[in-house]
Amino acid sequence: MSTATRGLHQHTLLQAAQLVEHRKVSPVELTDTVLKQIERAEPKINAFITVLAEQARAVAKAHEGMIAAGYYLGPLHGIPIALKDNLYTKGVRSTAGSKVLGDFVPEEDATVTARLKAAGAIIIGKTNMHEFAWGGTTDNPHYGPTRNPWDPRRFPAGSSGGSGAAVAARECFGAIGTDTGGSIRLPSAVNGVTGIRPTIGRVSNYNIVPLAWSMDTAGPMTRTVADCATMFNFIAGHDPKDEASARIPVSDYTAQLNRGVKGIRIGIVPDYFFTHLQPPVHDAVRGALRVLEGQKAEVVEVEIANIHGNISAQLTIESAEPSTYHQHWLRTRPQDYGDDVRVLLEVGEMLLATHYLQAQRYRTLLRHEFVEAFENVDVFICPTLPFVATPVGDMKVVIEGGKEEDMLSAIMQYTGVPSLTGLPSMSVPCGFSPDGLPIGMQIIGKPFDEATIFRVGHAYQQATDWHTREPNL
Amino acid sequence: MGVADILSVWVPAANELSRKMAEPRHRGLTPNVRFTHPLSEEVVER
Repeated sequence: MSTATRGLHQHTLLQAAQLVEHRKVSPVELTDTVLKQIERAEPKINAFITVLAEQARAVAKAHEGMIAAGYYLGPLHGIPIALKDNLYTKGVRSTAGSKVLGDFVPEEDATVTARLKAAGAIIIGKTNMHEFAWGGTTDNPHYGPTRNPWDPRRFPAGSSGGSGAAVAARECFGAIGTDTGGSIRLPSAVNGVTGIRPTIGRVSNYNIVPLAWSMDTAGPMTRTVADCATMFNFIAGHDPKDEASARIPVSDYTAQLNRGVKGIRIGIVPDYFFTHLQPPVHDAVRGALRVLEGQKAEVVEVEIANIHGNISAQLTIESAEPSTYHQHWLRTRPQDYGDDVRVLLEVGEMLLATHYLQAQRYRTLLRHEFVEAFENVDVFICPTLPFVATPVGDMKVVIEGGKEEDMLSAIMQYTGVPSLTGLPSMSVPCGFSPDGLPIGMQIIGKPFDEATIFRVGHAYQQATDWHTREPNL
Repeated sequence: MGVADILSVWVPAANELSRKMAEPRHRGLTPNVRFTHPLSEEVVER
């Protein structure tokens, strides 16, 4: 479908940006079309906790005036963007999906929020999420479950499920999610969108409600890799307000998109990446590797000796750190947590300090092994998660052999590895199951080499059309 | 699942990982509680 015949909300971020730059469409028109789509889609998917209709229209009007006067700020200027509700927004309620912070109105923006505003983005709303980001379903007891636009009976994964569903449902041109154990990549995969977890330290966590300090990251979720790289250009880079922020210079992440993958070495770990997963996921990711091989990339089998054990390490760290952050509220307001999160926070207090520190030592071991492996490969590719979207409310999943498994452990099978090692990783749509549910693959890169991840993902999207498909809401 | 149900699965797994990490061959590893970042010249982009 040509850009001329589609609804404005159906354009990609960069298509919309071109129209704004050339003054064929105003930020007010873009904002109105997105707000209409939100009105249409929200009763079915519940992706937002707060929609900022009035504020967004006012900001759009101001940006329309700026652009008309020649003050064009770049590709995010006048573009409606959604933020996960754990990012601080000055003067706007920021709940982190919780009742505990149900009335919290920050006096200052998160650095990511501020950078997007400075680039001219229009914050269209705050998206639903798993309570305090501690879970992978976005089945939120306080604001209702978010539902998958491809099948509203199914979950959108999480914890950034609202951001993933909003992008897929064309309720915004891009969104910000946060990712500790997979919370950008998992909803990107099951909603059929693109999302990157950056290298730890690449994007500021300042004024983002934490889940687990040593693994938290924030990143963009969009329809295409090119859109994702465009948003990343504006949010990446050192932030003196975040003491864990890296001082490493940023690239122009769109500059290398068109270099192709000829000569790129793709690592796979066959005895981990392609075991214990549903057949449609296996076939889709294997098919994606063949597409990249067809573009002259080379697939290299790699052994990571200590990759087993990563899920336990992930769960231990992701339990102990949130339980530390929430200790006061857990004692004073336990009734204000949903049952699942309260139980997980109680579990985190029961683990031993030695469990936590051995898990952190394991991270060192696993990171060494991946850094060494990167001497022979440029990226790794694996599934984002081993199964397709499950029914809303399910806490168990069947992956193989009819055996039910705990959702939380199962969903982290592949995303836990980059989280623990601090490596950047992007989920890209790579197919659909026979019943029409999206499948994603992860592209994992070297520390601070997000540019190569974008390059590989963009090359894949130039050869496939999975990312162009829309849910029929 | 309740606290006890989860602990009955997670603690044995954490114990197993702890046993592995306590082996003498891993004695030199330190906990990676916060990443230290390489200098910019160590970062390679193709």
